[in-house]
Amino acid sequence: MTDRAPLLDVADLSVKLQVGGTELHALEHVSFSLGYGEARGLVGESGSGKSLTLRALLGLLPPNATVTSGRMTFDGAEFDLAGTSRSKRRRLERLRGTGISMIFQEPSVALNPVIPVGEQIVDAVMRRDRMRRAEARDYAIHLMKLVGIHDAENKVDAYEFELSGGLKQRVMIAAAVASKPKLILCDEPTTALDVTVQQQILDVFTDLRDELDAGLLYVTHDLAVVSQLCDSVTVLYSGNVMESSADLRDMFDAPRHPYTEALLRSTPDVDRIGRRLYSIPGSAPSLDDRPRGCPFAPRCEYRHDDCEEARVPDKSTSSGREVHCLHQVQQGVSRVALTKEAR
Amino acid sequence: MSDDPLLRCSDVVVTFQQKQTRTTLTAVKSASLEVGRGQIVGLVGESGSGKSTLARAVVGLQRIDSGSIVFDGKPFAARRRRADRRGVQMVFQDPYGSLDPRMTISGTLTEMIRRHTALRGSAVDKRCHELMDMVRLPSSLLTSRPAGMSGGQRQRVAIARALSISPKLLVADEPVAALDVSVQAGIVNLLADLREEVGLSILFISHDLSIVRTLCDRVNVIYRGEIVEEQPCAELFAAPRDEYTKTLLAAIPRIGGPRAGR
Amino acid sequence: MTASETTLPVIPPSAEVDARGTGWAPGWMRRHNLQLWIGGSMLGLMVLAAVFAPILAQHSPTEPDAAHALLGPSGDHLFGTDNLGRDIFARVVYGARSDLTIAVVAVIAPFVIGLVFGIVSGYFGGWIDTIMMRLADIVTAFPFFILVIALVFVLGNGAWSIFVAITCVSWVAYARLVRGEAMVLRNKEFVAACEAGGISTSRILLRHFAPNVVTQAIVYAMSDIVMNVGVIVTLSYFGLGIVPPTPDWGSMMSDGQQFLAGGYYGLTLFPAAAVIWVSLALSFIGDGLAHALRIER
Repeated sequence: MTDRAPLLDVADLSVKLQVGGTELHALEHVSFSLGYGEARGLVGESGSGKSLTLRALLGLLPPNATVTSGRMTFDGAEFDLAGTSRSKRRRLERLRGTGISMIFQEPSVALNPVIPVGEQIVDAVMRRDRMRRAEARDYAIHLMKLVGIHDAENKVDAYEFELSGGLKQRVMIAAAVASKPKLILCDEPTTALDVTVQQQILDVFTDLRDELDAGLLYVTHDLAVVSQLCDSVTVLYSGNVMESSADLRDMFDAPRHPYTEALLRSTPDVDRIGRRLYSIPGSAPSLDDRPRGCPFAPRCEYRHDDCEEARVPDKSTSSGREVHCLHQVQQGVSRVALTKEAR
Repeated sequence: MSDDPLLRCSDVVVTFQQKQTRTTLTAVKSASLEVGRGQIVGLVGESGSGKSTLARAVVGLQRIDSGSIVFDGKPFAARRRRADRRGVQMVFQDPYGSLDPRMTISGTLTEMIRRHTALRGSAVDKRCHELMDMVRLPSSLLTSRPAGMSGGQRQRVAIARALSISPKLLVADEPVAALDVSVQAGIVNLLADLREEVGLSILFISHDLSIVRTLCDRVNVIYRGEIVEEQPCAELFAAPRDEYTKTLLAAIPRIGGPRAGR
Repeated sequence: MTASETTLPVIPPSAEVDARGTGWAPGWMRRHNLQLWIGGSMLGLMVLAAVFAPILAQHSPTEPDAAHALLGPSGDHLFGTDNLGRDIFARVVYGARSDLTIAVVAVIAPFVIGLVFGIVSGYFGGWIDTIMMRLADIVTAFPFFILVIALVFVLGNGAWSIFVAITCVSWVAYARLVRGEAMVLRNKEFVAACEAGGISTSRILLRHFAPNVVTQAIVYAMSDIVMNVGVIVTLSYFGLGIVPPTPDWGSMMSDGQQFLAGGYYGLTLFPAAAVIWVSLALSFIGDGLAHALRIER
């Protein structure tokens, strides 16, 4: 992923929502890129627009949402996300299930309950490659093993409701990789699972990355999960990118945006004893009365007078670090410092 | 303060009859746990472990098949009287389901206060304001309905409702699982503060070990309806004895921890 | 299912998705809840006409006047006259009195019975629910109209028997509807919180269940009134309803039918238009109410 052009490059993505009589700017000028074989975390709290971003990339937005601006380069091909014309939509739709696959939080919603799960993987396989059904079935079993379903020969004929949550999610992953996608979009795929199962699923993802050289765009609210899985990370808040880094460790060790820092500080840590968690005062602004300047300004500890007024200029640096803040955290309370503090 | 714990569950068994298959499902089998006065005790387990069932049994929402639940020195009878209800209150997981959408916040609080205390008239209003202060919410919210309130605010109201009749024990069933990290921290801190301020004892049910570690004094680990380990918090995390606990601890993703993968 | 289908999500019911009323009205109409206004005005007009019938009508609705039979609309007889020379306009507005009164009154009893049955059934479940729902099944086992007609036949003609017959049959729909809503509520955590808080069962049912389930029942009641108008009109059409000479839309249509061939459309057309007018008004109101009473979680 060093000198090759990125697999996915999303620039200036803005999405508008029509709720009641009002227009809400749900996403504002979101940009990020993802290399081949790279995993990027898209982190944010509810309402940050992280899931909306994923859906916009596939043209799967709810009917009351419109993309007002946004360009996407995927594997060398350019897409204008803002277009509403049929042909533009068709081009995006054609990517689904071939170039790009998506995995959802609730596998039971995405799996058909009346068709054996193996069949559903077989269908996905045959969509991509012409082969005989028996061959496809063997390949499906192979994929199921790849995602850690040990008795795949038996499970291939099982129905969705016969499987546990973890197994269902594995089936979803198998179906998603069946078409050999270059990019896998994940929308909180482990949030509904138990930690022990989550661990196994994260392992599956890690293995798959090595195996397939596919890019992984991973949406979650869980910083720890991102930290275990991803190389790079983009932090969203109220529809805006707050901070973005090509190197996740860099950002988590020394966050430069006050929001990233606050988020890290408020995440409980198993390895830290101590009764008090940092709690960010206030709550996220509703999309219709976001401050003109930085959306985080009203809750920010480092707030200056100009924060709520001025738009934050893009402050990209050559190192792949992007911090949308007028007054970046200089000597923040980093993770390292916190751990020391606890001791 | 006496030496015996505030809550002692001994060999609690809860079974469900499954209609379709006509089988009996044992949700909780012979679980025993204690909550000392002024303690925050964690009950940790994964989905289906029986932790919520046990919690509901403690507050009397679930009939128990056998065993006993002794609260404040007196065992609970199968049918709880109004006075029994006063001692234990519960906070639930879903902030969106735990408040009546058609009732104002003050209506919700008043209902409880009038049912269990002798307060009437302006004394009730005063108590409502006190409760809102206690959970750090502006009193202006008293006249509004839950619609439009954030998950964190709703959960604070739910805590206020539970505290309205000054229970000795609060059973909190995954109270922060549905909340954002930044909001979750506020609720966890609030619970810690309430222990200090009003001497509340808490049975804290969670699947999230990192929160349990932040908040609790002692931890019970429940697995398939059985308490497999009980230790003071620090010891449990430092030296887990049970195999399942070890698996659970190892599975927790950590910021800056080792990468996933084999 | 294929991989491409697996990428087609069921969009979760989140705040992001516009969850407005389910009606068919266009957006601009819904935005200001024009349906409620339009429906309300339409019904209001009809009610006013019924109330002020003696003032509005220049002629008696019941007095035959053989000299002026089968006249077309004119200044004197706005809608013309029928075969007996009675003023059709007078008969339509007086008909509104009898038809609307029975239709509305006949909604109240089933509404209340269904609400109580539904709440009790949905909250308690178990054998209470089983018994209540079997009872409901027995009623639904008969076709609606046949049962109503049979009951009216047994009880005899007239407003009172229409009222009893409709009540006996249509409470079931309310009970089913409310029971479903109540069963959803039963699993809400605020109900558990009330129980754990020692709130009495009667209070839970009255203060928490009733307000939460009643809106659906009210919305349904609007369409039920439409249905009742239909029932009354149909019964009268078959000569089982309101006893002549009391004017009623159903018997008017039934009587006027034989003159259609002769080109005297007014006899059937005007009462039919009144039925349509009222039905349309009530469905607008029902839709508007569904929107107005909708509450966010």
